[in-house]
Amino acid sequence: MNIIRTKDLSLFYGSFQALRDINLNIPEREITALIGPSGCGKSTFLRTLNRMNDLIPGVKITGQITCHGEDIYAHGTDPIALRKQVGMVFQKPNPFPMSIFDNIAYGPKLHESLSKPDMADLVERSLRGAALWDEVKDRLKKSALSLSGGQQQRLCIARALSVSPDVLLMDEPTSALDPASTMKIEELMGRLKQNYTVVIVTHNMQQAARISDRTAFFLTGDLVETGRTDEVFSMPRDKRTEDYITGRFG
Amino acid sequence: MMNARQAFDAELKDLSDALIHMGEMASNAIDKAITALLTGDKALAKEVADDDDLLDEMERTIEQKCLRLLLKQQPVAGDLRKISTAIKMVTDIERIGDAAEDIAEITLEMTAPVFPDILDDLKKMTDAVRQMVSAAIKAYVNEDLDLARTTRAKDDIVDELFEDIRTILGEKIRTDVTQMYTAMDYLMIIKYLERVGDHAENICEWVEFYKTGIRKDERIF
Repeated sequence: MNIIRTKDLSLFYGSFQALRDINLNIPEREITALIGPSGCGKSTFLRTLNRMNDLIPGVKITGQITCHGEDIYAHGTDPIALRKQVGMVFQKPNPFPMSIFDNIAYGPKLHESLSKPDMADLVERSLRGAALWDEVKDRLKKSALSLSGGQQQRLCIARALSVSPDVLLMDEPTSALDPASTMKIEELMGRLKQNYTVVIVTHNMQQAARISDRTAFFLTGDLVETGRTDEVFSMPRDKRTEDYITGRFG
Repeated sequence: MMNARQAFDAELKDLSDALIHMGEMASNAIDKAITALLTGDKALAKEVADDDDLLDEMERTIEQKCLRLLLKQQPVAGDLRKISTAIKMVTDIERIGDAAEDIAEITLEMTAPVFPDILDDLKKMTDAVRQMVSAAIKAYVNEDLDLARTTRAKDDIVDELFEDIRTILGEKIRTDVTQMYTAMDYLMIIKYLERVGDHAENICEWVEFYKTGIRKDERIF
């Protein structure tokens, strides 16, 4: 089942076309990796999936993106509600300058009013979901900025989980982390896909090969090839994919 | 100065050259072992037996090259297929060398000439095996998928000849016990030849995998 579908999606920054007629389906509860050299449009594409590009002046989008069959750019679609459904984790961990607990409680408070015990439950569930609970359960009132980089990134994942999204978008979520923290996030992603759909942008080919079910290769705004990750990394159909993943350019 | 990709390409070429060289040596070894057997040329048989150490050494060198490339490059796509093909093929090539050595060693010990009633089939079998080995190596060198596929199919001929000769040798052992040991030597020789056919077939299957990602009609990844 495809949770997200894009149809002839193009995106322009002013007169510059950053994405060209992208047709890509994102299957539910799988990890889809977006790969390609810098400037190929993969992060731009990722950001279209929860309308993060709306915030950039001069952006024009044509074509269609549906999530659960609903056109996410249709008139009347609430981008805030969309971003609750389609959460995002960025390259650099960006916890709010507040306590660990409040970082997680912040989002749910915007959407619903919960009793104290219910909120405490939700915070615990979110932190457990991001494999961080055991490390922080005794210091929930401490500043989130006191956590290590890897812990901060898992906190950001917990924060995204706290509003019960269906999809998690991750833009190079481990590129600022050391190998041990990277491995923890990768393990976590393997668990997350049991309940969530994950779309990840990564520059790390081995990471894409290790963790994703499907891979999409972008080049200068075009979607060159998409398929099962095992196939893309062993027997790519397009020579440009082969040349990129084997380091012949990019 | 080479960039990293050019340096990697140079290492892959080096690996490929080493494998081709080893393949040609194994092909020559089986060729010479068969000639020595059919002509009773003991000096040639001795040369084949002595040369096997070289093939063993080459196998170790090629294995090391492959493992180092896996470690350093974490290859994908065509690079991954090329290196995994090499790592598998090198074993088959080395086994062909072993079979040549084993045949040569039996030849060295033999006193009786070839039984006339197996001579025709044995020549057919040795010709088929020689052709399979040289074609398998050629298929790898030229990345020739068609040649790999047609060569693979020839293993059935080798297997049939093995069965035919085995039947004759069995009959010989049954009817004339004085010829039992010679017949057993030939039984071993045809078994080695039959195995060489299998190794050549394996090489062809790996060439096919390298070109298509499919081995024995099954997608590996």
